[in-house]
Amino acid sequence: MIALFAAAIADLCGPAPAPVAPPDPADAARYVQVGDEARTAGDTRVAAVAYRDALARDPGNVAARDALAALCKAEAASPADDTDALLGAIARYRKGELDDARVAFAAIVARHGASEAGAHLFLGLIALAYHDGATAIRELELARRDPAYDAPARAVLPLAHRDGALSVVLLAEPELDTNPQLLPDTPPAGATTGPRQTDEDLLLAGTVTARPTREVFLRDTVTWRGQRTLAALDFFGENAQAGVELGSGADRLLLRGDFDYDLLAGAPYLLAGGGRAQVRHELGGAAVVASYALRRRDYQQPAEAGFTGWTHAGDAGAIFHITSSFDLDLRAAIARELTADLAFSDVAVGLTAAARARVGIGVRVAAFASGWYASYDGAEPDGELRRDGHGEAGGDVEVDLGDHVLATCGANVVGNTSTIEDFRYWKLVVRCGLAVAIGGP
Amino acid sequence: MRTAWIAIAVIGLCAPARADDDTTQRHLLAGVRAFKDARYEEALVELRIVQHAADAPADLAFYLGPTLVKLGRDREAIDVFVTSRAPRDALTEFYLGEAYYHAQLYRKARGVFAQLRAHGLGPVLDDAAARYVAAVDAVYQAPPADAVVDAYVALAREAAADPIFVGELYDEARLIEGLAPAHHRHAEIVAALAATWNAMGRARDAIEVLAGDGALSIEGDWQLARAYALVGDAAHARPLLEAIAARHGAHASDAAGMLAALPP
Repeated sequence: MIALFAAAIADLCGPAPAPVAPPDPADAARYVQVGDEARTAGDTRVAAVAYRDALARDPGNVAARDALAALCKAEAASPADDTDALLGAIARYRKGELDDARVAFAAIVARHGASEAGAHLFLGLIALAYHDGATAIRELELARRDPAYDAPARAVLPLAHRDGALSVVLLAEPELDTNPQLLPDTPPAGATTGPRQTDEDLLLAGTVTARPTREVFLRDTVTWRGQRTLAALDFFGENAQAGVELGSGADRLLLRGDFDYDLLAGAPYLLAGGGRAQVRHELGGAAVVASYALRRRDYQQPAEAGFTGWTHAGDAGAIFHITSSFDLDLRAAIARELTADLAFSDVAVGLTAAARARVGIGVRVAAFASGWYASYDGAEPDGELRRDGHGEAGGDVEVDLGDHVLATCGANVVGNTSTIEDFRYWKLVVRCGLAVAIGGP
Repeated sequence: MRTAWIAIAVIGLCAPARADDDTTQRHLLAGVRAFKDARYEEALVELRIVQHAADAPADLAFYLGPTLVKLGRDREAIDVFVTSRAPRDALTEFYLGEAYYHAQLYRKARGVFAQLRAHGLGPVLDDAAARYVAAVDAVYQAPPADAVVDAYVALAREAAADPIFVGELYDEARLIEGLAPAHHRHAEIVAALAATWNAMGRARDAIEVLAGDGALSIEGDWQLARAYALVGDAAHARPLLEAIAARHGAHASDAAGMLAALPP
């Protein structure tokens, strides 16, 4: 334990102390005794102070002089204290070197020094990043012992209770939708089928995620949206994903394949499948990120058959870690849609911005805004070439009501302007709901 | 000695230290002066010299403990405070509470600060004590996780070289475990705590923890019997030792031997 106090003694290795008059060799011997005991115990600063006190009372005290000289000679080898170790480990964590950081934090914990609770907090965050909910819970509870780390640990503890090798999320969310004709994952079919009509709906969703290993995940999401009045727009969606998340040092690679099967009013609507690759490199205060996705969409109804085809999408940008609880994600994006009907094939370029923040304990906020410009390949029947400007913005608030229950509220607004009147539209969705999330083991 | 502390401090600040026949008094005074000047390492050196003196004051902990706390050497400070036989006062207790808090023995710290507040403190110390109590209460609004109890037990096992601190760690584990809705390693913890305290001559503290506890293990019964025997309470020790000896299990032979040594 005392070795923890083997702190730097450079300030005690300067010129000899001013002598105390008259000299007192007997008293100097008492200081030397204290110095020797402290030195034996590894208590170098107190030892150095004692030897200097001895020299002040007896400048000729050889034992004190030699011992102080030996301590000062060893000064260069003085180990850093736990605070430096913690800061170093945090720097590794922020650079995304999670495995190395975990080793460093574990070493701090093993020393049981003043930085132990802080190390537990970050071990919990690393376990959370690895979706090891049980370890995350244990580490965060250990961090909470220290009141200084209670608040940050409590802020993320509910997330740990919802994560693990198997996790389930169930959501029930009433919505107000000013334009439900605009279905998920489709071109603006509603814009061509009639005027928009506001309706309420109930969104029910369930997601099951299995993580057989740290890198591999399998996820299935079932969504049902029941309209209050526009029953023809009742929507059922099934999405299955399989992917791997690989990491080495500050680099992360995500590979994911997915499959969609959707029904509209009980009739087959869309079969889709594709893959996505994303690379991410942490730099410390920011991460650079880029992704590419390829997707095939096969619409099942004749009315949407013209939209069937391939979509390529890519983006690149940076995620800025403004604070430990606030990330800002800025990206430039490009997409190429190839459809059966050339009038719907386009190239789009745009920008997206997203912000994610933890606001106090148990409250998370996410917001995004995006805009792009699309140029279409084929001319409309009247010969006019279509050019669209598109903007979207939205935000969500999550409030933890318990380890496994959270309330959500959010809103999205979408606007599209086009050289073709049929494709000018806007849409507002406002929603509030409750979710139950369970993870384990 | 302690009642003169304030006077020593004041005089020490005003009068130059000078060599005289009373070496211990001179070093104590130098230590107090250094402490008041926030030169805590120098204070510690002076107080160590006092500690070695044959005429070291019985209440040296009153000076040494706070100095160690100021140096961040909380475990050593706790050792000093806990083993001191001098009666404690509010200021010493406050430093003990801070040492507990800094050593991550938060429930122990809360107990000290809450008791100090109950007995009455000056406004500045009371405000500080209230903040400590509130900080710990905020942590324990929800029942503690088993992992926290496990962590303190693990720390206690690792700290075997420092038996005084081992006792404090087990006591912290006991206090935390007591907040949980269901027992978690309760019998193991109180038995280990009592074993530590019995070995340290704190048998009365062990009795206070174990007596009336309906969830004791065989080890707990044995430690309670030992504690009664150590304080000379044969009336309570005898039936426990007889029961342990009759079980022919763990400690049966030790219990029989202790029974034989009990006064009639």
